[in-house]
Amino acid sequence: MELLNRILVILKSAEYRLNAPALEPLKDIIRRTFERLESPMQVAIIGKISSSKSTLVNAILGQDEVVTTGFKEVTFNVSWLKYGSNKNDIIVHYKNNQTPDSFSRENWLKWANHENSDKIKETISYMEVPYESSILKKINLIDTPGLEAFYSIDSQNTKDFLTKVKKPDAVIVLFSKGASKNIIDVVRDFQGTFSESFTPINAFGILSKIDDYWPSENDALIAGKRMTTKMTEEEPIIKRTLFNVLPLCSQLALASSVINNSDIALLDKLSSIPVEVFQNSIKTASRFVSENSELNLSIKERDYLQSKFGRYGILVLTNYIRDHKDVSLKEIKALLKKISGFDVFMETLENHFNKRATLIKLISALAELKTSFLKKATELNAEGKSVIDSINSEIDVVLNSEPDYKEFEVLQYFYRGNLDLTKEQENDLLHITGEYGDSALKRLNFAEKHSVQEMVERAYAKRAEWNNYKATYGLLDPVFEEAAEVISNSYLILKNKIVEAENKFTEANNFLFNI
Amino acid sequence: MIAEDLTVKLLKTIEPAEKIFSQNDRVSELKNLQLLKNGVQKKEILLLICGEFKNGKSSLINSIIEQSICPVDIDITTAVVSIIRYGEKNKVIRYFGTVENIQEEIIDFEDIDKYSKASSIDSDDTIFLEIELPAEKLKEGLVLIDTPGVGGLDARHGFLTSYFLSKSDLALFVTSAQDPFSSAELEFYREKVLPVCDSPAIVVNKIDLATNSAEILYDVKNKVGQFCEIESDNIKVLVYSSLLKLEFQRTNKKEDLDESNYIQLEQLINCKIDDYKINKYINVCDYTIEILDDIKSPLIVQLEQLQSNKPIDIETLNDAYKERSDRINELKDPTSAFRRKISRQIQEARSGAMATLQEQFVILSSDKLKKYISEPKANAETVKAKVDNDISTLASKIDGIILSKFDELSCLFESQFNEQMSLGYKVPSSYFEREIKKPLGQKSFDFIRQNYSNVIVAGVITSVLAPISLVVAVGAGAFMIWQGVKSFLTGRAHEREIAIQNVINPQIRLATDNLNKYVNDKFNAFQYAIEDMISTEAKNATFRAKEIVESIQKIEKKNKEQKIEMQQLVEHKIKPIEQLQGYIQRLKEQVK
Repeated sequence: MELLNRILVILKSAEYRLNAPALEPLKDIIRRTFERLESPMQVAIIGKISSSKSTLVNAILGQDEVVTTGFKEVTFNVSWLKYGSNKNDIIVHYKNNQTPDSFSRENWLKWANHENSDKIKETISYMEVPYESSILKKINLIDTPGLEAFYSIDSQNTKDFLTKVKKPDAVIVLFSKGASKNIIDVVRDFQGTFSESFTPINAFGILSKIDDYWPSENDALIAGKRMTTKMTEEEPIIKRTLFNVLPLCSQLALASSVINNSDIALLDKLSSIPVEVFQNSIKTASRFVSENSELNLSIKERDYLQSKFGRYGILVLTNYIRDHKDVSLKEIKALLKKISGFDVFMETLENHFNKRATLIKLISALAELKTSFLKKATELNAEGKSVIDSINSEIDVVLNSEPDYKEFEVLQYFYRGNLDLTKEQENDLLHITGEYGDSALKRLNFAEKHSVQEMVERAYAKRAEWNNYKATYGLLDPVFEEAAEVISNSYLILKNKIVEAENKFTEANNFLFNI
Repeated sequence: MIAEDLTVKLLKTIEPAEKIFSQNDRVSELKNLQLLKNGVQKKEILLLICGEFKNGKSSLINSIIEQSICPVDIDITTAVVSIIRYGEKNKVIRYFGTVENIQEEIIDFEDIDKYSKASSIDSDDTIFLEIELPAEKLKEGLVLIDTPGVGGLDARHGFLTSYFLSKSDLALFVTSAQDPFSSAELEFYREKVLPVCDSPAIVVNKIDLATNSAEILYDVKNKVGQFCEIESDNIKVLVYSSLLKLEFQRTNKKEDLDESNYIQLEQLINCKIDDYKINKYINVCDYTIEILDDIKSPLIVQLEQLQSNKPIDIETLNDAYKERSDRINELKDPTSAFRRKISRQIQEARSGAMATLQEQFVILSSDKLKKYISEPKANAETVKAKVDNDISTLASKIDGIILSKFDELSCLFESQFNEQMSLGYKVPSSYFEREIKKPLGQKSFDFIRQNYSNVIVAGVITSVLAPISLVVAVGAGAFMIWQGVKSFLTGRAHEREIAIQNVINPQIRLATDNLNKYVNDKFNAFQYAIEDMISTEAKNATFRAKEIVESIQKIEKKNKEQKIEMQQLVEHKIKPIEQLQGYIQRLKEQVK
């Protein structure tokens, strides 16, 4: 990304200029910013106790028990999952600035049990856990103890981590019933520290445990979608705080990675018993594992299935297997990804966080840079201060000349409620800035495939439309004027990119296939 | 369980006691007894269902009345209070409007959904719904109150719930097996439910989702016990599944009913109702026995004097009587020093309460409002939410502030009253001394303390308009702020700041006025009750002292035979009172 490179150049040249020993601390600050910009984006998973945060972390990593899970409050420390060998030591960071310790996994497991949990909570700030999963190269995941926990230190550790200790780049917020005020407040506090840039760009919501909507509802995902749509439409605070809210069943999301053929064999056996007996036995959790069940599996097997898939999962899978003989493991995995909402979730994670990662990271890193500078400024002489000022202003110049950043600013205005838009204008803005997807088609708000010619035409038309908006309303409202200018420009850039891409495509085609 | 005929029997038995009360000129005691009797005779028991949002409160109610009255779709949340009671036919009344103009209208049964599930953005002006339906379960007088959940995004929900909580007889706190018991739930239970309800039971709904109900029960008990500092044995927790109970209605399968735990829920509710009724019943017994004791004691003084042969110094007795009469007369005179002192103290307490209120509102409409508006993330909606929340919090605290002042005052008055009545020198006859030095107002002050607060705030839901005034006052104030602000949601930032202030400030004033009026009314009522009670007490005390002095003087003049005759006469008066007390005591023991 060009913007990132330009900022890196400024920082590099600044580092050269800071030769005087008195300015050494500034160098440290810049080095930390480099580090941050070069490392993967950090995404914290937060939410109420037992809202399946840890299960979601495991699901994203595609592996059981990377972090422990359970009904009660089992996650008692912040775990920062980074890319690295599974054999590497766990690094434990303490609250009192004590040097971090390394533990082998074996020793850690021995020590970090419930007996020691109080001590761990009191003294440990967070721990770094290396894990070998390619997604961690792009995004670091941070698992946190639940909010609204009975043991208030759990919630406090999470809040401290978000606002004081590490300030991750973004958060994923889970709630299992609906958004509660307490949780939304935590997200807003986190966003508040984010260079005062108050926008949902760095937070998205998950309505978790949607499988609990069954049996009141037949299709948990459809029910969940209905609920999330209603939430975003009717609670303005949600729209202003969270980029999006997605329905998800973490348990089945995880199952889509870890299901195996022997599981399918068990489910296949279940599918052979009369439908009515099956449906009656699955009505409640305890009935499904009761001793005098009419089901053709042992208690142990039933208990295993229930803890792995839940009753909703068992029901959907069994019905599917009954209707589709000789189903493949691959097919079942795809089914689970779909019914759990995991496929849409991963797509959004990719689209939103991964593609915007640089910008989000850049914003949070620069915000921290400026804050650190500000803190140091009092200790510096006039020369130091002028260096800081010049670095700051150079950064601002670059940011303000960068269309991506300008778009981001317009989005900020929009999410803060400082930009008056009609429904149609709002739709244009969110599409052209890539909030709904990065391809040219999506940015032009085409639902299906269209020709390059049609795309170029729409980009032209939209640019004219926004120029027109600017001329009509701009005089009355400088904020709107600036926004209209940025959007109009974005359409122009997009048009150019489309034309350029087509030329390259033709060129490539000619090169490869012309006879 | 109190049998219907036992209550009838008690009411019949205390009839002669009431006669004795009025013969002895115990007018205010008669009034108090009538209040207590109303409690026993009251047919309706108000059971409020509260808890965090989406925990299955509405579905629990539906499963009890075996009808889908409260909306339970997964994507909606209950937004208003619904009062559900027995009626011959289906009928729904919607109460709505503002403080100046409370209105009611009959709405279609099918429209319940429309009014009770509104989200915070388009919630209308409904204050609550009153639903009548011919449900068998409600026929005995059980009234169910469905409340909006607490902890969601709408601050008004929590306020409505706490307000109605203080007006109900019983409460169930609903949590769900879906999530562990959270700190937010614990706080609500400890801060809002416990102070106004006597041992509120906890129902863990949606147990069909869990296999570890024993573990869940233990977890809830343990957390509540630790957090609220209650013995965990004294916490009643029950697991339940409204889903299975409703399923049972469809399938009629015994296993569905058994696993729903409905029978236990029914037992729990019945048990709570019984405890409530027994409590009211015992109150009537205790109060009647106590007042009868009081009426009996001058007679016993006479009897003692008749039985002993020690002569009494009539001079001293007369002096004591005279001094006492003077003091009592002072009490009866509203311009006397004592009475002026009392009304000054009430005045001080009143201005104290008003000042607290005023101060809060000044802070709210100046510093706080400015702070809210100038916060970097502020928009009209967040400002509204914060102001709304501040007013609601303050309003729900008002009753508490008032009651603690009243409690403080009645303690103060009791000691001042007794100080005023105590005599400086020794009086003859130990019985007489005891009688004359007896802390006269104690019973009445106790009564005021225990019952006056309830008299102020009780009787809400049955008679609709008066009770709701506070909710309307504040709810409507907050609501209008919000409506005003809503139109500014689309406004520009710099113009908006002033606009918000212009809209919000008058609304804050409106809410202030309403709360001021509420506080004033309560203090007026309290002052009137205190003064009335002191006058009555004073009058009764004069009357009793006079009676005793005269009877003792008479005794002194009598010869031996006359004394024996008189002794028989007094014994004859005491006997029926003691008999009556015995009957009531036995009736009281029958319920234990």
